[in-house]
Amino acid sequence: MNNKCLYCLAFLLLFTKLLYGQPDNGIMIGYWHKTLARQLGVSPQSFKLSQGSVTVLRSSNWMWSIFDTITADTSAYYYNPDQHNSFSDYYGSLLSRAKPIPFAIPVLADSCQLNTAILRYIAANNQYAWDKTIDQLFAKIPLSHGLHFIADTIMQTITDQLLKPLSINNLLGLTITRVNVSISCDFGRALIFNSSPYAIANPNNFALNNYSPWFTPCVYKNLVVQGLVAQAVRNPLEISSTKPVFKACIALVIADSINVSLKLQSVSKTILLQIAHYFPVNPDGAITSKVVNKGIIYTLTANTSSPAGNPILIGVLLMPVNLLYSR
Amino acid sequence: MSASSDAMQTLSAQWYNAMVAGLSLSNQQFQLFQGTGTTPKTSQDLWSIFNAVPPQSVNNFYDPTQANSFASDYGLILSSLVTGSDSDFQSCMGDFYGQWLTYFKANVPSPFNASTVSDVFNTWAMINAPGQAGCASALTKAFINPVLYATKIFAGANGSYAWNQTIDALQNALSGGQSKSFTLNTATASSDISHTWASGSASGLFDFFSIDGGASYDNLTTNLTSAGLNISASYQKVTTFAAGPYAQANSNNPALSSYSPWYASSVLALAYTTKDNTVWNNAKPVTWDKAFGAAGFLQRMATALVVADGINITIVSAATFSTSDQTTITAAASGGFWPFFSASGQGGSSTTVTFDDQGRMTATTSSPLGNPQILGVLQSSVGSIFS
Repeated sequence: MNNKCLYCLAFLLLFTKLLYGQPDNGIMIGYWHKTLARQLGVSPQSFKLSQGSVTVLRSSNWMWSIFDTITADTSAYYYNPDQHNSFSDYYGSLLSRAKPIPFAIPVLADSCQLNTAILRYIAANNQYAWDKTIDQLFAKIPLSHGLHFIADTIMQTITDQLLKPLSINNLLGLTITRVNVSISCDFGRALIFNSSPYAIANPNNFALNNYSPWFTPCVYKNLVVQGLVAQAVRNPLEISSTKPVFKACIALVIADSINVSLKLQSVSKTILLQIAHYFPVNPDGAITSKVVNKGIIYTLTANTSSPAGNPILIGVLLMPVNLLYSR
Repeated sequence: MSASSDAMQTLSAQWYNAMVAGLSLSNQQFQLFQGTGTTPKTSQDLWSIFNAVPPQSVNNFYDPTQANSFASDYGLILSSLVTGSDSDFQSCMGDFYGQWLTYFKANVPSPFNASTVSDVFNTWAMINAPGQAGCASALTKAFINPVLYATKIFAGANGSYAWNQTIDALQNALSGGQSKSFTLNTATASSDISHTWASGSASGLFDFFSIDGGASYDNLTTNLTSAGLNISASYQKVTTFAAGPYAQANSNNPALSSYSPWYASSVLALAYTTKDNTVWNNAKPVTWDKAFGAAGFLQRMATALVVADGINITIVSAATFSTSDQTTITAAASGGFWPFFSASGQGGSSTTVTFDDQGRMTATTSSPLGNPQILGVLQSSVGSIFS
């Protein structure tokens, strides 16, 4: 191998993304996630994709169960829909561990009284509604706009491997993979639907008549933001730099009449380098190279579609629990 | 391990990766689901699947009789927790505590609940201790003590542990599901599952043929897989269906009317995040380590099911087969092929096998709408949910 080739390799190493391993789902889904977030006008950090296909059911309880979920932010792209940890129960546990403030009465409005918040929570009788219902969501779908775009990107991955590390003439295998990801997205309707815990009685919404407001934002803010929870008992969801941040759902991302195609194509070629001595390389030509173009083509295609009238939960917007309702 | 077992291990791993990519699932949560008669027909069947604690494997053969269930694990943990002594009220009241206690004993409200107790206290405090009026919250919060509440509702469920979604909801979700399709070329697809949540663990692997044909089938399996397979999978309806333990009363679902909520997540969060005796009763046999430690009984939970209906899978093999092998394979088709084992005619499914002039096989298995199959489960580790 001559110096020119070495420079080429150095260029490749410096100016391409180093993504080790065979192109996998992460590359394709990562690009889909980033592009969709940009098209929706939301932050990729707060937007998470649903896994598989989540049908929107015509049930407020179903919708509230998603808003009520506290999830760990363990994937950059995907939403974990686990429902074993709920916001309403977490809020109740915060109330149960709050330190009383004997002299606070004159300075706090009734809407920020801890005892009032506890009584409201108890009065909800273990039925914790959100401030919007499923009928409101379905009513908004026909009024929402469509989302149509195509996008593609090319990424280059390099995998190196010392094939004979113990020999005098080491062999370095360098696999260069060119990956092309293309997206075709057609949403007849796309909607971002927000909702908050039921805090203020809404007699105009018939579907909420059987529920009483249970959430007191001011008290939540005091307990979480100002840390008025009893310190003797650990807050299970306390924020720490060494732990994943727990997040709650603040909005659903819904699409209707869907046609999406995701395609990944890759071409790999392998270069064998023979190294006469350890690095740094002798510039007098101590490395010889042989390009073995295997021409392996890897194709991955995922097509998804659903007709109008079958709204799908494409993803959710999440926010850290300690930042919720803090404004 | 035999050559055919090796081949099926590789093929299963490739199938796992293809399904994760093709259906847009996270390899940090998805587990392939296999079992006979596994499509739930009732809510109870559905809840049994959610209740089963998933093993650490990308591939699980579901056993409805498995002993390790989430509800029983949760009950064991609950029975080992202390309710905690709350001295907040006494501290808040200071010198007025004795006076209040005397008054309260003579004026116990009826009905006795948080609201009436609060009213009695506020009336008394307004006259006798205005500076202590804010202590009311320390009194009323006793009514929402998480461990006491959780223990009470768990006992009240009387062993009937529902989840918050029912079989009707699953059927509705499936009827509104999306169509999805993907392909797998085993010559180029990755069989690396080391980067998944199960760190490469796989169990309960299946043979390619559902019929146990001994060595001759093993050889056919090896030939089929070593030459490479092109697999096309399409599903007319796919849905990811999440459910959680029944924690809040749902008066809108008649199917849940005979069940009572039994689960309180904050208590499990408290138990997981606190190892000491402020939460755990050291005198009880179940400890934090026995519950959540490296060999603990509750490592992970079923989060959602991935269910499909209207299934069509076509497998094209690059291997060539003799006439006698073709006869053997065609006979085996009656029992169905990996990865879809429904025998022909069962639930309307059918499997056809054809061979081209060179003896290359094309097998197509299809199942019409109305015969849903569980493709997999999304699992979550307890640590990821509560720590």
